Amino acid sequence: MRAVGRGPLRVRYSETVGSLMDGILMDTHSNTLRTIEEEGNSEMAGDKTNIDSLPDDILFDILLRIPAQDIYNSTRLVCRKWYHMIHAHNFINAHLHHSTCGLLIQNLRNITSYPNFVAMRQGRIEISKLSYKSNHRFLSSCNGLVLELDDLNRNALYITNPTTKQRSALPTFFADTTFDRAVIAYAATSMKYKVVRTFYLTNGNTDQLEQGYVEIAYAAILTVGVDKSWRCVNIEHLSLAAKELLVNNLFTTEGFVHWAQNGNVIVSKGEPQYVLTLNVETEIITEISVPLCHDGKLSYYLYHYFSMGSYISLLISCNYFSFEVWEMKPETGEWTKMRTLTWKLNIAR
Amino acid sequence: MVTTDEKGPLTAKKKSVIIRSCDGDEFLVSESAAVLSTSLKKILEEKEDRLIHLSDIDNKTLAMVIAYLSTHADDGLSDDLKRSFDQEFVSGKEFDVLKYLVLATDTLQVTCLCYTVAKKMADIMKNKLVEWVRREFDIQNDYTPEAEAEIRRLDAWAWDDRQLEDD
Repeated sequence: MRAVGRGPLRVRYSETVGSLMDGILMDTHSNTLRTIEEEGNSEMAGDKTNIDSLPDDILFDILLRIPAQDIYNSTRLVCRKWYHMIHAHNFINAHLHHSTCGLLIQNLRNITSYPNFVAMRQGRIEISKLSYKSNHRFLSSCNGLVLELDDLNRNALYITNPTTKQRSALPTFFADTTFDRAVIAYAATSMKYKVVRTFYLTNGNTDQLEQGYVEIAYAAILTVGVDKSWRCVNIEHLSLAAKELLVNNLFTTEGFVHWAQNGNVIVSKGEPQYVLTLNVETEIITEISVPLCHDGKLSYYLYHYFSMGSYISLLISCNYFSFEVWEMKPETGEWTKMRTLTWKLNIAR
Repeated sequence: MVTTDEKGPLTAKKKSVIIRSCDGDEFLVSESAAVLSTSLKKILEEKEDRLIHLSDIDNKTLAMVIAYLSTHADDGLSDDLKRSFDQEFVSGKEFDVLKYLVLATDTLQVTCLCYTVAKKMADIMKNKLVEWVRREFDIQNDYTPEAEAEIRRLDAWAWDDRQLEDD
């Protein structure tokens, strides 16, 4: 870069200056910049920079871009100011939004092997191994935290951060149960993680089980880092049909936990179907009716529920050749029909 | 090309501005490049003066920022080329240089450059020992050894044996 004048500037704008400007602009990418840098380096050599301190917002922007494991291993230990900045909720949230989303894949045949992390970056799929070994089964994950189950001790649940390799054990469950369905979800308003699990109360009477006795499952919830013991979720207000849904697998959308019956469903004509939705913030379960195809005239449906981040997507197959795609926002509980897909048969003659 | 206008100065055309660094050197910059800086844009909107004095940005840093702005103001370059320019722009730069650069982008409010430089600084800080970071940022360690050990102990579950670099 070149200085075009010194002192009070009175450049007469003329053809010459115009072309000079063009010349400078072109130069900036190539050699001129380099010259300045070289000059600069020689000037700076003896004069070690001493910026008193970077403004907090710049520091924030820099620390935000440091990977979690480096922050954990060294950055947060630099000084108290940095420690407090890093441990503040706004930093943790901002850092989370900067991180790459991906799939955590565990090999259940050999759970002590290193899990894979599959991420999409700039349109490319990247597969990497986590530098973290666990001998626990992954049940669920949320914002980079993993809910793990110790298969050798069915009551023991752990929350692990595979990046920082921190792990904490959750309080022991109050009931003797072999049920291993549990999920972790984030309550954004209170900024707390909560773990939800379902369980049976068998009362020690296994004969009834074998005789086809219909059991009711219950749901329990725990606020991570706060609760010392599990709390039952109130299901008194639910219909019997809705309570029966608790035996199904759980899945999460942002801030919500759901129970729904996946797969084949046989229904009496017009009988409503439900999905259960627990708002992890308020801890209230509601039953939301699920749309039926063809005005409920069928007696057999195939339902597939998908968690799509902030909403549920539902694929209903009404017969072999047509599907309906519905979406539901848990906040409103309203279903919207997105489209109907119909296969057209081309039978060769 | 700037056309000559004998009667009035260039303000009518608004084609270029002159920016003076704290060292006193002056740089001629096209206005389309200057307005990529939110601060410069505001100044240009407020006053007709084509000379802007920046009292806290030195020659070397200003030259780099202007090179960046000029490239990004060039409509002839594709976004891909600009991205690879950004990569090239920060690569190989000393940590000290980046610190001045990030401060300048803060003053001038050039958000995208600020993020590029912050990313580069973060990349350099990866795998570095605490001592390295303290030295580069000129930060006094205000932890007692006991307090530091306590933090490590409280939060530790397992340590991996990665080698951290001190230079």
